[in-house]
Amino acid sequence: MNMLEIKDLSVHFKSRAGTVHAVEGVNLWLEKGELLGVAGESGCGKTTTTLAIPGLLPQNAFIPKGQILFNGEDLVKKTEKEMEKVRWKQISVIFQGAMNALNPLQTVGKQMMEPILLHEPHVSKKEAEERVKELLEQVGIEKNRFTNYPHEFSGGMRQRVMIAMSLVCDPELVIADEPVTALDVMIQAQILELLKKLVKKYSLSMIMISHDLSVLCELCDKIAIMYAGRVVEYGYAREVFTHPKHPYTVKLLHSLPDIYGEKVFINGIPGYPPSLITPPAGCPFCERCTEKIPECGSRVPELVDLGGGHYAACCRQTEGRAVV
Amino acid sequence: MNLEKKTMEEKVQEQRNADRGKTIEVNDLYVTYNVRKKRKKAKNQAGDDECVHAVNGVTMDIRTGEILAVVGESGCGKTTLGKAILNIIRSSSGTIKYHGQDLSKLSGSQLQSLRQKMQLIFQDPYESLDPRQSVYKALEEPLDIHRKDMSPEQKKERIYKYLEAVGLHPAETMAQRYPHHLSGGQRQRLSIAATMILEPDFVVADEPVSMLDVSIRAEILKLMLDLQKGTDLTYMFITHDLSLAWLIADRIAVFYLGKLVEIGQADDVVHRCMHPYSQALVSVIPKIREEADEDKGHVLRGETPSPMSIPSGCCFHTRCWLYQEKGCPEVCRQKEPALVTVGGDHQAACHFAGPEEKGGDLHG
Repeated sequence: MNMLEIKDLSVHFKSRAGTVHAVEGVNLWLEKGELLGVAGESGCGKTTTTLAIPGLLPQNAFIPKGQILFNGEDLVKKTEKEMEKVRWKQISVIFQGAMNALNPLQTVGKQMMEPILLHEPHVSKKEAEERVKELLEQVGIEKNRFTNYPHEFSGGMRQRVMIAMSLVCDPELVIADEPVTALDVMIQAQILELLKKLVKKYSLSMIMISHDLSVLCELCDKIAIMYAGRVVEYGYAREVFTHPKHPYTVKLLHSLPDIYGEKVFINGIPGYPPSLITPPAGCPFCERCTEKIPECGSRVPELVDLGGGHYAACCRQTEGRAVV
Repeated sequence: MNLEKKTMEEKVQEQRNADRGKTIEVNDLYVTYNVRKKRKKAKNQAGDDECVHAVNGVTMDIRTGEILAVVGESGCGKTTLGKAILNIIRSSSGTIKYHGQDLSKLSGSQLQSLRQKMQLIFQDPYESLDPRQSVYKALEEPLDIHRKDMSPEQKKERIYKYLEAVGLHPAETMAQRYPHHLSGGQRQRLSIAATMILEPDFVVADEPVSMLDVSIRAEILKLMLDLQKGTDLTYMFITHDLSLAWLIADRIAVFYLGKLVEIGQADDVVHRCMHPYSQALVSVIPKIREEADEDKGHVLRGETPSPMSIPSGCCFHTRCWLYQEKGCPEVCRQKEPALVTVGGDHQAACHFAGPEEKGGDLHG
């Protein structure tokens, strides 16, 4: 059974210029113990989609349609009070920008204990402290740094603290929003290794957001590629990377240099994503696509099953022709 | 993986590169920042060193018409080096020569006239442009400063020419825009136009694409290469991304804690790297199109030591996997390794520099 099922989810934002269709008809699902990577350019809706799961959207956002089923329960219908029980205990988030996500006025230990004391009232302070210290050790930080303030940690260490903090209430699902962006390559490798270890040890399910495909291919079981608020391709990571079906995925992969391959100059994707205030009538990628057919301008393609757990949303797929 | 695999073509190319003139010669350069005096509490720790050693005895050349990529983690001194070469930051000791001219011996006005030949592309196009300056003004300013001989018409013509050259067309409309009208990619194009409008022959590009989406990166890089075509334009390309450096650079220089640890042809440094630090950097590059193997290679433990207290001997020995494998030899702690030639146009600074062999049997 799928642990998380996002069905036809749309998230819109009210803005002075009009309604922004940030996420439009997204379908995603995740089995227990799986690691799902969500990739795409800035503004493609990857953060909005995933932050809708624990109900952490900004004030001006609203969900016009769709369901988020978590263990069979629809999170969209839950009230704020009910959601509070879900957060931390069932779903926790590792926020983007570890540099700024911690409270500079509180010791690291104190802010890590806070969710435990709030969500598990039966746990004593002493027990909470023990648990936090153990988790700090798990992420490679010495116990005695419990009383340090965030500014006494380096960027990589703060990211480790954020990761440990997301685990304090033993959640089932962890959402990691760009956990390694803005970190040095070597620290990035360390953090990825740590995440891999923790996923195994605590048998976590995880959704990891990144704009960097190469980071996701290291870690994830499955990959969802998003473009202009829609999922355009979804499938097993290895399969998506080696046999991409959507022209956007193909182009995205070609914009990364590969030192193990031939030295060919990377190709960008000319043009810009469409405006999300007035989304185009047809396929959102149509304007930048080199494989388009007349149909692309008028029909929004749906995510279709191509067999073997590989899905793509491209008008040419339904014709029974391979796109690439 | 070995030297014999080099084709004849590569060897010819290498020779040609070596024959090129030198645009920049850096000799034993040190840049040290003074920091505020330490408070009482910290006084006893790690001596009473009160300066940051950002660049530490760097000797290298940048050849005319080449792209030299400078690679390293944050804090390794790559940006400081670039700025020191352009004389934006004062060096503490050592010399920098531009076409044989010692920059430290020049007067202020001589230096200013040289400045138009040596330019910088900044990292973040969201912060490096003045929000109250129109595109036209942003391009006019460098001309106003350096080209007082040009008439307004000539300036206008040149501005339009460069707007078109960097792909901001139609030039007439774009010239009236302000930075907030432009997307990230367009802003970076504008920065490049502002750099190139003085027709420099040496440009330091400080992480010019790291703030941009992957789909836009390629176009900006292509633009930089296009502007170089048919000219003697020399780039120093600062980046933390080794695979990007491999793709666009002729040579790569790897820095660690303000020291040059390896320099050579891009393919040599990536595929036949000799220094354990470069080997570690290469091993953490994700494999996109291949099956990922469980063994991640050499992920270095801990973090780069503070440039305020650089380790003795080889500055890398505190994190070096090879030092551990060799059973912590004393020489690494005692003696600073010199940059030695390890083949062709390829140098590395390690006592045990050598190719890494598969199967864990190392450096025989």
